[in-house]
Amino acid sequence: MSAPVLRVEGLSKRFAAPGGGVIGAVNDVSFTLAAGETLGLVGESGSGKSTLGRCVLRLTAPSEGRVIFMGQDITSVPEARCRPLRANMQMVFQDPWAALNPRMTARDLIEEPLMLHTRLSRAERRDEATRLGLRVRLPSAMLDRYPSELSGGQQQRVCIARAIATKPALIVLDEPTSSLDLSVRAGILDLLAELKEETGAAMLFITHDLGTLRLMADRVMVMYLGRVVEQATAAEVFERPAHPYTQALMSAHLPADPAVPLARHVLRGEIPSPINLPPGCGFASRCPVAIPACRERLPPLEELAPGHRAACLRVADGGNRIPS
Amino acid sequence: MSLLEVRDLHTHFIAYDLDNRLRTARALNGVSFSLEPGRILGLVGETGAGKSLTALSILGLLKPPARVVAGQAVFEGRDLLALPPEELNALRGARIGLVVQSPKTSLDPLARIGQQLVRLQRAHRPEFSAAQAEARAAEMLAAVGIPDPKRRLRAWPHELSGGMAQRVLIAMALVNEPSLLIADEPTTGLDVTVQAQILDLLRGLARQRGIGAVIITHDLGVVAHYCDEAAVMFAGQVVEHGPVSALFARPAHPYTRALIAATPERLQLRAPRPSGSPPNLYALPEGCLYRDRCPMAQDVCTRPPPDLALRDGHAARCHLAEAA
Repeated sequence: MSAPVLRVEGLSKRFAAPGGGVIGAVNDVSFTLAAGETLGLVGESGSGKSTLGRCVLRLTAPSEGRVIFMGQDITSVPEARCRPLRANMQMVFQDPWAALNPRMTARDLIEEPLMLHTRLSRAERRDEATRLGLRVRLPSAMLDRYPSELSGGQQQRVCIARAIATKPALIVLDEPTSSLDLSVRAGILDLLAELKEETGAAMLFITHDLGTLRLMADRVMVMYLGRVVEQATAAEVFERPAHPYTQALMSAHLPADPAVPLARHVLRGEIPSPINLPPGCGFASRCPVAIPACRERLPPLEELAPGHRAACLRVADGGNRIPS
Repeated sequence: MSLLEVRDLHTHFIAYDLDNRLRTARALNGVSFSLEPGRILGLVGETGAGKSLTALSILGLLKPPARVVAGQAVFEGRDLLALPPEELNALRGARIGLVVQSPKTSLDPLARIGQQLVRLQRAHRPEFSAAQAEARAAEMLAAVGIPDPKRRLRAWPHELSGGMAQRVLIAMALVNEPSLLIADEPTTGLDVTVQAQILDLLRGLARQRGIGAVIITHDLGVVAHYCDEAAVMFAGQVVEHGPVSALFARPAHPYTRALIAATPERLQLRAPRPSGSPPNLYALPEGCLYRDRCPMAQDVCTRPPPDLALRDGHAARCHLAEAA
């Protein structure tokens, strides 16, 4: 396999909690991402998945660890020198309305990254914006509209056109379809699947929706309270989820088909506060198969099968299956 | 007799535009559905289909310029739309409970949970003493699975997590023993593992107390697994209505079929699918409102579609439903 586009080593991000204490938003996360590969990052609110995405793009400075992008350690590149890097790494956010300047037309919005990152002439930029617009299926007449005159799906298409304008090697997508209706979502997922194939960009796809994950991801990383609890190919995670949290997450998903029975392991409680985390496994307080050792010792992320890792002490004694 | 029967409900927004012309947005265009006691109906559709507006219309909570221009909503034998405001007030919060989407903004931030539950009971049952109402409030908190209910009565809304706040709202909706519960996106914005807890709770309480419930949702997974019946809305109309199992197994309306095909479980990426936006509410076409997007549309579709009765209470508003 070719050198990875992105290598993240031991990344942590801590914030000071208001009133003292430390929020461990991301704790000791490592992974690699190859060209043309889509890594799905799944977890509930507060799991640290968005913070991780922002650290990778240097939108937030990590507290510890290294981010190596196309062979270059970008962890400590000064902010002023980040701009050329960012032509090569782009992001698509959940709420397109908040991500677009309401006073710029779709065309200007799509031209903006070309203006910042390329030396194209004005006429060339115009042509390129038209081409990008067509690529994301926005007819050129629509490019003269302002965001307020576009539907949510069309706004997200503008965001995607902006993200691919500079032909980045890495695109981080943070819940790109979560605010969209089903029929609109389908069109955006179509487009992302096409772009993945065409551009060969590596994608970090952040979502809480397992259905979308299954469609889009080659590999999956499950996060809980800032830590990776499971990592595997998408097929492996869906067929043989090893970590009790992954199993519970899968069973809480409601397939849109009454004929599919639910394997219910309803978890009690909610994600605990990330301030001053206790030692041991972060999931122990809600885990139906936790043993005393789980509250004392942090489980390492161990390989169960080639490419399949899980951080659970109960894997060793086979007690990690949640009884149904 | 049905618990609630909504017949041909029309709600319009009538207002002057910037050029001082009177304009009418026809937001609800003949909503009809019925709910039997003890059953759970899923009112499902995409943004702008009129789901929440239907609930607000029935409950007399519309604000100008929206107003009901035609239709009936017969609840326990009385047409809610024809009741004087005092009588409707006496029903809301008592015989009819409402759970809204954002629990945090629906609780009074300046009153403790207990006070809010007591206030609500005494507004409808002045014969209750404060102590009686408080005892029932604690029972209700216990019934919605809030640990240590007596102590929680003293909690402020901001001290509650999203899931806990939603439980409190459910307690408030049920404390006066309603026979009808309307829940508008009760789990949107909650994490999936918490969503399962809340839906289990809602369904359990409705079954136990023989309450008829309308769950408004855009999530077909919620409909598939938590509802007995479903009414699918498009452009301010119920386009299909029937038992959940029949509706998913044999969707009769082309819109329902498109919606089901767009769920992550069924979605085929990069396959042809109907596109286009919902019709302009200011200038609705004659005939079927879905026909511009419908892959099966024919000449007959320019005439208003009939409400076809299929088998076993399964009906679709489509000329071609039986042929399909």
